[in-house]
Amino acid sequence: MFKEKLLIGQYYPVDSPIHRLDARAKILASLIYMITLFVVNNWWGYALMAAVFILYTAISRLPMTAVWRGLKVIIYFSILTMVFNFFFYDQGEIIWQYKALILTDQGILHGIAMGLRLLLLVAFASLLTLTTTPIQLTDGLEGLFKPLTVIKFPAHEIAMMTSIALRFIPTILEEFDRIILAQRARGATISQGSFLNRVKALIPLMVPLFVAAFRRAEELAQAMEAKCYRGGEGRSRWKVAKWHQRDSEYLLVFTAIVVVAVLLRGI
Amino acid sequence: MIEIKGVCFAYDDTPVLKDINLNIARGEWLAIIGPNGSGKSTLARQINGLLLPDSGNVFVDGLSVLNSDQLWQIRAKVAFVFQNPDNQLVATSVEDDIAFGPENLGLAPELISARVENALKITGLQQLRNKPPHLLSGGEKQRVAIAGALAMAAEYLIMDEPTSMLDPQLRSQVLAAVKQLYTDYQMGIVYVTNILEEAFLADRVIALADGAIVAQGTPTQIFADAGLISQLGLELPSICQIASLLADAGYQQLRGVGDIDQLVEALCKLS
Repeated sequence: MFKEKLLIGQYYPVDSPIHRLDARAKILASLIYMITLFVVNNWWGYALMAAVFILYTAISRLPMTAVWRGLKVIIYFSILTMVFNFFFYDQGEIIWQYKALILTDQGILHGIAMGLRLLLLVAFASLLTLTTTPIQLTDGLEGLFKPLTVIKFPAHEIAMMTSIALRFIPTILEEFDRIILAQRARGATISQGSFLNRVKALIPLMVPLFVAAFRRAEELAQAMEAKCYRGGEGRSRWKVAKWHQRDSEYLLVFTAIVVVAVLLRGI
Repeated sequence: MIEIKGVCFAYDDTPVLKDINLNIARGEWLAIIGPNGSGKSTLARQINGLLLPDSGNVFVDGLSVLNSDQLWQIRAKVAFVFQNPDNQLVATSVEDDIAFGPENLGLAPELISARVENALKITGLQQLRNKPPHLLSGGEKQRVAIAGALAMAAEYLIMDEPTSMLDPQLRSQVLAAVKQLYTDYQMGIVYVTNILEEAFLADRVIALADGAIVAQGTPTQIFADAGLISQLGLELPSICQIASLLADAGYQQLRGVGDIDQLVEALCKLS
């Protein structure tokens, strides 16, 4: 039920050069890619970014179905963005007008560009989670945030919280399904009636879910304490990610993409 | 050696433990039985300082739970397996969860690898090492928790009703793992349970009622006292019930027999 729906964009285990990269390199590369998307200002630039995305997908050996599943949701949003931009962009020659709604030639191009930008942005982000395990991802984030601990930034705590959240998402979704069944067995109607009624119907589902989640949290805290957990200090890491030369090379490639994107602005 | 000395404990104003005195040796298997609300779980939590005594003290190999530095040394020695298998696994895969304890101890990665490997082997979880916890059965989750205790190289293992949320056929898996720690690794086991069949595996049984120890002895001694067991609101294993009915009918030598093989043997000797 709910479980399947939320599993989009989750790690897809295949062996590929991208999968083998250090999570830190992949996170940085994704950031670079996303920022570059906002540098780009013409079709050449978008063509470059789309080409990078397609090449990246090919190298990561992900099946199209897995990538597509991640894209499906965002395609609606990007179409919506496109349509909004069509009608609310007032520069250029007016093609069609109805009261306050104007459609201009430049507006159409602008809309397509915005939709494409959003699509590529999310698609590339989903490639990160498809090729990196949650644990590598949180460890990578911790590694990247580590320098900030100097200014008391809680890098370890944030990474630990994220990984616990990832661990418990499926457990809590299972519980949610169980609560739905239990309330249905008591005669609750959950997916019928007006919007207001459906929102009201959520209350008997959310209250037990939250109560159970708090109880879990307390028991988990006890279990962690029993295993000598007392924060990041004095703690060692079992699987330490090693930065290889290929990770540096990979970042170099992305730096080159930025340079090319900046040069393409002038065309 | 775990020494519980004059421990009293109250939740708010309700006294839960009343002057408990108890010693548990390393290599001993102690079962704590008693009805719900008798203070079994609270007593178990005193041993590794998850709850601290209001008065009295608990020592583990001479370390005191009331000393905050020694408390962490105690927790490294005394592992704890909880009742709910879902709420004690922290990491997103079996092997990472087993490594969680050793990581907290600040061990070197090579040493952690060796310990995780060893724990996986002993508990027979090698095949499941990369599985996320939510895809494991309850029995497997409890075995992961036991493996975590092994990886910490704990000397004592406290288990708080570890099988009460499991199907009967999964119980034996968990018990087999505990037996192995007891026989092969001479761990001290403190096993809190309401299931008397499981208490039979222990060297010594403590019966708790209203926060006080009301009886202690070998399983055979404790279970021979049918009056005590029914007073505690517990149920004797069916083999025990048969033996005690036969004992009441005049075969005194059968009193307290709790194992089917023992009963068969004793019955054969009768004729």
